[in-house]
Amino acid sequence: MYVVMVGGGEVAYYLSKQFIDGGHEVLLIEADPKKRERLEEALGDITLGGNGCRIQCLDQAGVSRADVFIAATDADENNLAACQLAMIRFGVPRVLSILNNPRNRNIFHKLGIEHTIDVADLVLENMKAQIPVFPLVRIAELEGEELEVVQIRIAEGSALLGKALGDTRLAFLADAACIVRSGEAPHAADASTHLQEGDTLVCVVPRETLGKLESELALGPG
Amino acid sequence: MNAFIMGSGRVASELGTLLDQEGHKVTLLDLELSMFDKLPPSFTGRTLAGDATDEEFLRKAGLQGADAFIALTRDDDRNAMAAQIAKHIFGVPRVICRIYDPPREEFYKTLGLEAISPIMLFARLVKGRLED
Repeated sequence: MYVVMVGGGEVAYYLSKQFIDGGHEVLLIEADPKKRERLEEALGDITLGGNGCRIQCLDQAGVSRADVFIAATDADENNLAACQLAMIRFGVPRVLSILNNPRNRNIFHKLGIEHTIDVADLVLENMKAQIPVFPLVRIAELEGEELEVVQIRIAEGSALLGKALGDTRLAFLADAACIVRSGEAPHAADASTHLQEGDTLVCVVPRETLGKLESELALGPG
Repeated sequence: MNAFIMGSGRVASELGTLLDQEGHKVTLLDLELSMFDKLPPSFTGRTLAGDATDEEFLRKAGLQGADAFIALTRDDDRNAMAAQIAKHIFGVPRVICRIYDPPREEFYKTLGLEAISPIMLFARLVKGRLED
């Protein structure tokens, strides 16, 4: 696979390394000669100097034969310009962008750049996962982004404690969630599963139900 | 006309002043208020400080329902992004953006954006004069 990345920061470095280790061809476009030097010292001759938002530069990078294009600069306007060129002008089948400002998700998606990685959001959800006061944490988006993998934590004081899953507002998760409980192998939760403190439910839910789920968890049992 | 202009350079200031003099409602947007120093004291329009590539800022600035959005900063990428937000999210009927880089002027035109490259504009103008 041929992967072209714009922006030679930390994310691009680690990602390139993974692609290279997997036997893929990688080209990193980075304007800063110092950053390029560091990248080449670590990863070999895989960088191209220049502005990844310029048609000439993308041409030189052979973007028209790229299988994947990743925009990972720290400015969303640069990421948007690079992605639009890669997608429309060069016809790259898979175009991804890092988002520095979560608000920009809307315009990227409106313009057809559906695969965005929201850095602030990732950090936020990872932090929430470490702090027990947040009952609902989004773990990942599934292909197409209409589905989300979430974890629901049954913490001390939760109104769901001791209730059978089928008797709560979360009844719709019966047979659809995997229950993770200390001392037990993870297994499917059914309507009769009694929720205990420390239980975690892992499930795949449609994105549009997240708001409902959040409010159900705030409300407690039905 | 209710016009929003992104930028505070010479062209943005001149355009804002011209529209203001003709009685149009003009709002100039740029990152900091101190950047609007090229406007004459007679300018009666609004100047707002903020990031015009940020949808929320544009909403608060009142872009919804505006007649025109013109992006005139020095940065092609910022101009293109703000112009596309104005067109596709706020549905502004007339959106014009300055794109210095001629190949990208062409590219954005194919996307239905009214892009103008000052380089190409001037080159064509001079060429036209030579042919007169």
